[in-house]
Amino acid sequence: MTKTARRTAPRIALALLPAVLSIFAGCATPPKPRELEAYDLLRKSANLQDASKKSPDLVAGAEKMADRSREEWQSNDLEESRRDAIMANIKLKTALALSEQEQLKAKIQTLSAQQAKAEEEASDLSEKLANENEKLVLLQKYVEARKTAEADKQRLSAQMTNEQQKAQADHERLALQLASEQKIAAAQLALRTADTVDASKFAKAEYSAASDMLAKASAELQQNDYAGAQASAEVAKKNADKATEMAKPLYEQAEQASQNKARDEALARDASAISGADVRLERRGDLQRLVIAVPELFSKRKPEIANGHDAVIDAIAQLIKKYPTYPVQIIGYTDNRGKASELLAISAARAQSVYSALASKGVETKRLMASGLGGDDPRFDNKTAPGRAKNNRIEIVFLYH
Amino acid sequence: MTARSRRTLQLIVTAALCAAFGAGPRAARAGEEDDLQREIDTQRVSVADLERLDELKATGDEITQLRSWLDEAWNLRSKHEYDQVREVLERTRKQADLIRAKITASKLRAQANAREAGLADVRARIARTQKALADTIKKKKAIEGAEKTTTEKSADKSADKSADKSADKSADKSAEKTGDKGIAP
Repeated sequence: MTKTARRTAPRIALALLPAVLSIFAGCATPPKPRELEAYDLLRKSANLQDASKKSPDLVAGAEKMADRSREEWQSNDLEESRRDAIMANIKLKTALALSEQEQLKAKIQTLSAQQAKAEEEASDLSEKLANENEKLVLLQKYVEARKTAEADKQRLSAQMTNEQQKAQADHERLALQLASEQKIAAAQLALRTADTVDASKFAKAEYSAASDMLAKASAELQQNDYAGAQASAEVAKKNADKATEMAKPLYEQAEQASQNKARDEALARDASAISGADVRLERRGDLQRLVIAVPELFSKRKPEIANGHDAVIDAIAQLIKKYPTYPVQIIGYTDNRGKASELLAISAARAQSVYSALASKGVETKRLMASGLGGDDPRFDNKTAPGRAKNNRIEIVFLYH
Repeated sequence: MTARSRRTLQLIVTAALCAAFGAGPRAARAGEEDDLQREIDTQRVSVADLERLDELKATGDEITQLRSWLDEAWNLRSKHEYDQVREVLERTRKQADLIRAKITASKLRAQANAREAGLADVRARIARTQKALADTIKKKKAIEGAEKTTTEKSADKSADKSADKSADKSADKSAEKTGDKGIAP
C-alpha cells in the first residue's frame, strides 16, 4: 500500500462509518411504540385479574391486539403496531373500567350496608342519648324542685320561727297586759269594795291614794308600761284594801245604826198600827224602849186575859216574831187600889199570862222576860175610874240601843 | 328505421350503457362516503353527549383523544381512505365505550366516596353521640351521687331531730310524772 493510500484509508473508513451504522440500525429492532409500552404498563395493573374475570372477551381481545402489535413492531411495521396497541389499550382500559365499576358497586353496596348499620347504631345511640338527656333533665328538674322545696322549707321554717317568736312575744305581751288588767281590775274591785263601806268617807286618805294609783296604773297600761301598771295597781289595791279595812267597822257601825234606826222606826210604825194599844218611845240611859201599852186586857183583879183580846195578842205576837232581834219585856201594871204585894202578884201573874199567850202563838220564850210592877209607874190618874182602868195594863217593851 | 337512425340509437344505447357502467362505482363510493360521514357526525354528537354525561370531568383526556381521532377520520374520509376511516371509527367506538365505562366508574366512585363520607359522618356522629352519652351519664351519675349524699344527710338530720324530739317528749313525760312541768320555751 502506498503512502497516500495509507493516509486516505482511515478517512474513507470514517466517512463510511455512518453509512455502516445506519445499515446496522436499519437491520436492528425499531424502538417499542409508546402505545405498546403504555399497554404493557397497563397490564401490570392489580385489577387485571378481576378485569379478566369480569370481561374475558375484552381482555382476550386486548391481548390479541397487543400480540399483533408486538409482532408488527418486531416486523418494523410501527404504524400498524401503534394502531393495534391503541386498540389493545382501549379494550384493556375498558375492561379495567368495567372491573372497577363492579368493584365500586360492591364497595357501594358494602358501604351502604355499613352506613345503614351505622345509621341504625347512630339512631339507637341518639335514642339512648335522648333518653339519658330526658332522664338528666328530669333529674335536674327534680334536683331543682328539691332545692326549691328545701329553700321553701327553710324559708317557711324561718318564717314559722319568726311567727312563733312574734306570737310568743305577743303572748307574753298579752299575758303581761292581761296580768296588768287583772291587777287593775283587782284594784278597781278593791276600790269598789271600799266604796261599799264608804271608804271615801271613813278612810279618806287611803281611798284617795288608791284612786290616784289606780288612775296611774290605767295610764301606764295605756302606755303599755305593764310592769309599772302592775306595780301601781298592786299599790292601789293595797291602799283600797287598807281603806276598806279601816272604813269597814266605821261603815258597819254607821250602817248598823242606820239599820237599827230604820228597824226601830219600822217597829214603831208597825206597833202603832195595832189597834187597842198605845205606843210610846222612851230612853233610859243607853237603852231605847218602845212601849206598847195594852189596857183593859184583864177583868177586875183577875190574872187571866179576858175574852175578846185575841186579836191584840196575835198582833203583838206577829210583831215580836217580825222583829226577832229585840229582847222583849212583858210588864204588868195595876192601879193603886189594894195591898202593894197583892197588886205586885196580880201584875206579875198578868204578865205571865201574856207571856204564856205569846208563847202559845209561837214566840220564842227565850226572848221574853215577864215581870209585874204592881201599881208603880201609873200612866193615868188613879183617882178616876177611867184612869185606873187604863193603869191596869200590860206593857210590851222592845229594848234596843 | 333508417341506417342513420339505427346508428343513432346504437350510439344512444352505447352511451347509456357506458354511463351506467361508469356511474355505478362512483355512486357506490359516494354512498360509502356518506355513510362514513354520518357515522362521524353521529359520533361527534355522541361525544357532546358524553361530555355532558361526564359531570365529574373524569374523561377529559379520553374525550380529547376521541375528538382528535374523529378529526383524523374526517381527514381520512376527505382523502377517500375509507378503510382507514373505518378502522379509526372502530377505534372511536371502542373509545366511546371506554369513556362511558369510565364515566360510569367515576360516578360510582363519586357515589362510593359520598357513601364513605356519609359513613364517616355517621361514624363521627356516632362518636360524638357516644361522647355526649358518656358525658350525660357521667353528669347524671354525678348529680345522683350528690343527691344521694344530700338525701342521706337529710335523713340523718331528720333522725337526729326525731331522736331529739323523742328525748324531749320523754323528758317532758318524766317531768309531768314527777310533777315538774318545767317552763315551756
